[in-house]
Amino acid sequence: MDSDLISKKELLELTGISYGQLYRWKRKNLLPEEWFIRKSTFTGQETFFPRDKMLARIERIMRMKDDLSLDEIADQFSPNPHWRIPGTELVTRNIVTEKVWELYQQCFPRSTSLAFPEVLAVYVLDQLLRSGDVNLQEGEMVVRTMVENAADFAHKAADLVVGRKLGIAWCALVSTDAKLAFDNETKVILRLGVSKYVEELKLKVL
Amino acid sequence: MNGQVQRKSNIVIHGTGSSHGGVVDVVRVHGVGTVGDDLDCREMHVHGQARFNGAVKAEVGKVHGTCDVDGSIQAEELVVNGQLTVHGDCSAETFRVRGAFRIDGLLNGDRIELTQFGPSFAKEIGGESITVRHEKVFFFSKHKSLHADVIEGDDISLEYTKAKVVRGNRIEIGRGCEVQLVEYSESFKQAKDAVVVEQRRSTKGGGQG
Repeated sequence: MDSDLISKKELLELTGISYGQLYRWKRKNLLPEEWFIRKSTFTGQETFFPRDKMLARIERIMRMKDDLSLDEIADQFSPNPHWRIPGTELVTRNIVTEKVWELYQQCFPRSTSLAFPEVLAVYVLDQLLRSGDVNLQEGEMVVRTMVENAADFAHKAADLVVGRKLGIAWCALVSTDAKLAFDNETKVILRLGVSKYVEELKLKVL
Repeated sequence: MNGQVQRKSNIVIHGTGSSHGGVVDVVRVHGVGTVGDDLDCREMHVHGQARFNGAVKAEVGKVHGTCDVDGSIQAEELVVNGQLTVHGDCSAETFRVRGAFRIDGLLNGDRIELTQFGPSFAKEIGGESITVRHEKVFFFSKHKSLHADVIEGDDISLEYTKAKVVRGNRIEIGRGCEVQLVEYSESFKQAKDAVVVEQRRSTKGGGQG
């Protein structure tokens, strides 16, 4: 059997969830329809799922289900593609500081209302500047990288890497499972998973 | 962007009539009615015969008579006395039918109860508790029972049901059933005249708790 797939029975054994929960989550759109792969086996028809995606998703649902309603969790998994927020609202709601918003407007002067990937970029910038790991100039670079490559990482979990070599900073977006190696003059300042910020942000803005 | 959609208008059909769908508060059909396209409503009441040419979304749906849905139907509570036909999937937290249904896709519900008066069909049935009963009627034949490919749930209790696979934790196969394969994890009961070709106990529930 294909090792990338997991059968429904195996999934229930592994995670300890019940049929009732599985069907309820499906009903509430917590599990996308495309993941239900029906195949004929010798015992009749069985349903399979993409193994890694499904296990990760179930783990996240289990973690959130005590604090949030199923409808709220469903929203977390599917940010509306048409959703936009005015930049000034980010400031008034204390999601980012005014300084950071000004910096963002310097990079992208024409944008007044932001879609989710852009909000994410501003939010990450805000967090990085707060932590003191990067300076303003480097922050600008991070924002540009994130906004300009948002489409490539829309459906993938990404890590943000920032480093310096001989006093010159660089930043990169890599997929989370990528292993990176550098020459010994290069110093990696930080590597962080963007998905953590995605979840934080969704809790704050949605 | 967020917040509830305003539901101002109702659709009321007395006698014979047809209407567009859309986002509405209450849909009432007394007589024979057709709703043109996708419908999103809070309450749906059918007394008589109704046909929905699109998908239906409702909080509460009550049908006395027959109801025909071309797309999928999604409701919190769906109560049918009579006949329900759905060409797509049917999902409801509570799904209660006295009569018969035909669902070409998946019937997905927390509590699914069917009291049979006539032949029913669903490709797949899944949920937490699934109960199928049959009312004592003269001349009730096995051939007029519920047919399904797969039935999956935590608690399943069936009568007069013909299925290829029944999977669940606690399964009762009552009189008049014909099942190819039963896979259960906690308990399994079978009535004397029920036919179960193969039964298996799966490991789930043993070690996992």
